[in-house]
Amino acid sequence: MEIKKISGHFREHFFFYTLAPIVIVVGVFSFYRFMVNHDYLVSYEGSCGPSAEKCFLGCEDDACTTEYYYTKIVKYEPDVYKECGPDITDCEAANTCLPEDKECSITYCNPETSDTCATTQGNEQTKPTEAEPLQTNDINNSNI
Amino acid sequence: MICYLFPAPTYFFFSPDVPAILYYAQIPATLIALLMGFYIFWNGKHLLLNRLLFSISVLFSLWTITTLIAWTNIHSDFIMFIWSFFSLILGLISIFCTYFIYVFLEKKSVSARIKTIFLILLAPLLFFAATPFNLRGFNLTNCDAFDFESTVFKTYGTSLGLLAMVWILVLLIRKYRIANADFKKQIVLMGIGIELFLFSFFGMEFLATYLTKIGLLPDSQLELYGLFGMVIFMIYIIILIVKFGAFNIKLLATQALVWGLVALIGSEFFFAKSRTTQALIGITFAASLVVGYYLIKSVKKEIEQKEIMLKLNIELKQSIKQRESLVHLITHKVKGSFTRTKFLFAGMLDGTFGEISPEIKKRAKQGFDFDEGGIKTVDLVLNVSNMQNGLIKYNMKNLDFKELVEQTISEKRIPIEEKGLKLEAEVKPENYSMVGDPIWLKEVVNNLIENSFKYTKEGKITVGLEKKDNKILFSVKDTGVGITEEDKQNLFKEGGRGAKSVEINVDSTGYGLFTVKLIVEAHKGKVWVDSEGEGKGSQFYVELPTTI
Repeated sequence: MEIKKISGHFREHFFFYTLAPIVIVVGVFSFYRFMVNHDYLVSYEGSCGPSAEKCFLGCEDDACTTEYYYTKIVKYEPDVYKECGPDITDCEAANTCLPEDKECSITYCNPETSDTCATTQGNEQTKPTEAEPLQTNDINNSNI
Repeated sequence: MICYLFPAPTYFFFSPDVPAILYYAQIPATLIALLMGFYIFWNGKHLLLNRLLFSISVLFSLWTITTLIAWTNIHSDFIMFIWSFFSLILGLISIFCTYFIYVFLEKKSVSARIKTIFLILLAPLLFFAATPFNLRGFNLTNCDAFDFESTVFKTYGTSLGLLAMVWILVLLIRKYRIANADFKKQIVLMGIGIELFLFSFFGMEFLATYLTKIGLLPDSQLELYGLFGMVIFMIYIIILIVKFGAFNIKLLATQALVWGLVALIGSEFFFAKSRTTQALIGITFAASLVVGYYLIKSVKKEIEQKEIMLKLNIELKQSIKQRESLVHLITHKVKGSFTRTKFLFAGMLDGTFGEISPEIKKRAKQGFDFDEGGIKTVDLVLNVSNMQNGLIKYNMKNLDFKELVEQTISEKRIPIEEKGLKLEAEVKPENYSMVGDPIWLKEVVNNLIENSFKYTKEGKITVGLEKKDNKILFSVKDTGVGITEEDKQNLFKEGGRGAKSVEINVDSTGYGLFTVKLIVEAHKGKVWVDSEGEGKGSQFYVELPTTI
């Protein structure tokens, strides 16, 4: 009798009784993946020498009075954390792909894709008509 | 990892580096949604409709809080964790809104088949929310995850909103066609509210994400404008509650207005920059809370009293109706008995039953008079009852009031003078034509003269008739027992009579003067009495308009 009552109650509310546990499980999984395992990639702007590399050109402010050069780096978060700690500022290891990195890619400026690139002189921006090859240092052949 | 270009927020939520609209959109919308959600839930925890609206308000608040964190926080782990739920929350809001409308329209839960469809629609969002299919990475430079979101996953979440809009619209139209007029109004209000909410919420969210992704917008602050849709939805919910008592709640418009204002003033506090402004808003907030509380309390009390009075009024009307039917039953029975015995006595008097002795004839005459008095009293009570119920139809026509008065005087002169009283008439020569029912107006004149006759032992009765301010003023003055101030208050009320009236007139019913009042008022006139006190006589006045 009691079992029948419980099964009737479940049938009546099966939407909530199914949904609520799944949402909790999803929450636990997500927490484990991001907060515990840090299982995701991080992208950031790495340092770039315009005399030797094809750098992206960025602005420090809205009026673009000060420019800077950068590459786009994508790395596996636990690797960056291991190399630099929580903050990548002034961390040299963050600017390069190391052999032990699980995933790492550095994207250089490609004028062909209409990126704003710095010239070799490094102080003026240009969108050259000539195609520049994409320079990627991809240890694991994964280009994000 | 931390977003190295952004400052850390203070108190978890406050960052100087976010658009001002963020707090202005998030906080009032969240507060209003949560307040309403809790209020509705609290007032009907057992009702599915209330629970669903509460769930929507909680999901919406979860959305606003998580987006607020995503805007202000700089820790990638935490932002990624909450970002993974964005599409799921959107999907849940869509499904719960649809579920809510089903219950609102059908007044019962949905079938197992619909519930299964809901779960199937949510399944992709649930199963992939925590996987790389939803989110793969985080941009530390921009402090967001737009570049790493799966377009398919995101589009699916948003398209559930579109599906909900269409689904709800179809349900509303189908029900509207067969609903009664009252429910049609509710459907329109609910439909506008929820469709506006879904349109602004999902529409803005989709536009903001899409335009940010393709680089047309620097960030997704456009989506913040969509949150005002929830405020609009809640306003419609409040209208439904106030006007139609939806959600089984008795909400007063005052309550809704006061708490809405309090929420708005309170939310101002979060984006006030200077200390002075914060202090002023704090004081205004506290003052509005206190004033609002007392205002609601007093309005509530007033409404409760009104409701009690309304209930009592209904009960009173029922009781009067029952009493009237009882009075009618009794009076008809009594009148029937009186009439039968009256005819018996009449038969004895006119010799129908043969010759009777003078002594028996004398007794038969007494019995005949008693019966006639009894019939008159019953008629009086019946008339009053009929007048109160509007059963008396006055036959209004042009008449000369002076004629009525003179006719009654001539009829009453003999019995009055037999009692040793003098009857004087002071009729000023004027035109006394008016519109009225001659039978009932004669009853007024007759009743007032009769009244003076009964309560005057010696002296005289003076009947006056004159015109004042184009109105007829009829009066009956006597040198009788007079009336105390206390008795004056009850004299023209149902069953009202002077404290000593029964001592003088044992047949006093207390209905005579009440009948006069009802007849005079039916002729748009008024009646009153003057007396200098006990033993000093009294003067009754009747003022009647010449036209009605």
